[in-house]
Amino acid sequence: MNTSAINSGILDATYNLFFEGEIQNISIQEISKKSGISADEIISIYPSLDDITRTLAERNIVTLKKEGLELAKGKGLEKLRQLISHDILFFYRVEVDRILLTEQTMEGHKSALRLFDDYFNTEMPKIYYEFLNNNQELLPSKYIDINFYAHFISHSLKFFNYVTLEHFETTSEGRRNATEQIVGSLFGLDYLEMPKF
Amino acid sequence: MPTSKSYKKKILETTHHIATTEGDVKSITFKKIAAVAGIKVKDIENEYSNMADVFYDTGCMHIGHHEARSKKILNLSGEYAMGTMIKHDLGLLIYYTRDSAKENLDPVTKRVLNFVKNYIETVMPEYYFKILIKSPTLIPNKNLNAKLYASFIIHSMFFYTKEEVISLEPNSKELTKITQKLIVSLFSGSKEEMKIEQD
Repeated sequence: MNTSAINSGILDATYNLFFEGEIQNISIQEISKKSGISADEIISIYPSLDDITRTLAERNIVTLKKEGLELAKGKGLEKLRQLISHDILFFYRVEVDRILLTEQTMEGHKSALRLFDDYFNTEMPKIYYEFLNNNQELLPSKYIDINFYAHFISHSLKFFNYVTLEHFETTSEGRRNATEQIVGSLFGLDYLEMPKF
Repeated sequence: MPTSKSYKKKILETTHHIATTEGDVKSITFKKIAAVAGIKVKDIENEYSNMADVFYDTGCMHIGHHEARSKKILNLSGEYAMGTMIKHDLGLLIYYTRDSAKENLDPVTKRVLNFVKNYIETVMPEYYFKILIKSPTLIPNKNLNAKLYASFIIHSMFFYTKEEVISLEPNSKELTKITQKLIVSLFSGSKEEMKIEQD
């Protein structure tokens, strides 16, 4: 395998471990087992787990941003639904992962989580600004500043994480309904259809 | 001559005044409070043995005043109560977030901030819940859990404490107005502004 293939193998194996809900057990040894690449070889490229998860986060953020910007070019309610669903689902998973980490296991994910937070706070509002600027009729009031509202939407989406919702709604269906209704209220709608969490 | 009780009130009010105007609680001492309040250090020493207790009592007093006003706001009607309550609580959140963002907080400040945090997380949502129950038309969807929505309103208010948002409008009074306008837009639909009682 060349370096690029090894690199992809490491990142893909790590991603799969995340996807399988194994965040608390992810280690270089587990990535080695999953990818079939020796731990020594992994360490020669990525000296720590934090380096691997940070690189994976960078890769995911590039995709997330590209998809978000593409959706932001669109018009209408359906595009809005797709854009919000796209972001909410991604960050719901990030937050579910975050709560599974302990003080010790957090060490291997600190940089990645910081990158996700940065994206959420600085890049996502730009995408919503782009979309809302193209779709001003979806704003709840014509007197609202689009830039601030874009930040407000991004901030609001962070409310829909498992820890917060679970406190009020114990079923997946209940959490989804509440999310649909509150997100809808941001745009003067009864609800905005969301994916299943 | 003021009684001991009135000195206590004066000490706490002066401490609150210095903390909110200067923002640096570490610099507050008995001497400073005495100078600003126009009383003797001895008068403070008769009431308190250390600054930690002064800070804690000041925090409790401030929250007590805040909650007393919240109770009065509950008597207003529907949208008017909601808009006024949001404005009222934003005033508290600004000091809470400013102080809790500081690094290397001393145990005394942490204790006071924990007290305020507890109020924000557990007591404040109850007031919004009561407004929503009293005026169910404010809930965007009749099937929506009112307690959850009350919690969402509190979350929304923290919007204006984000660095990225502050960089767009560094003037905190203007930013408070913008935040208030954004949140009330959830309730007032296409109307330009929700009526709000002035402090």
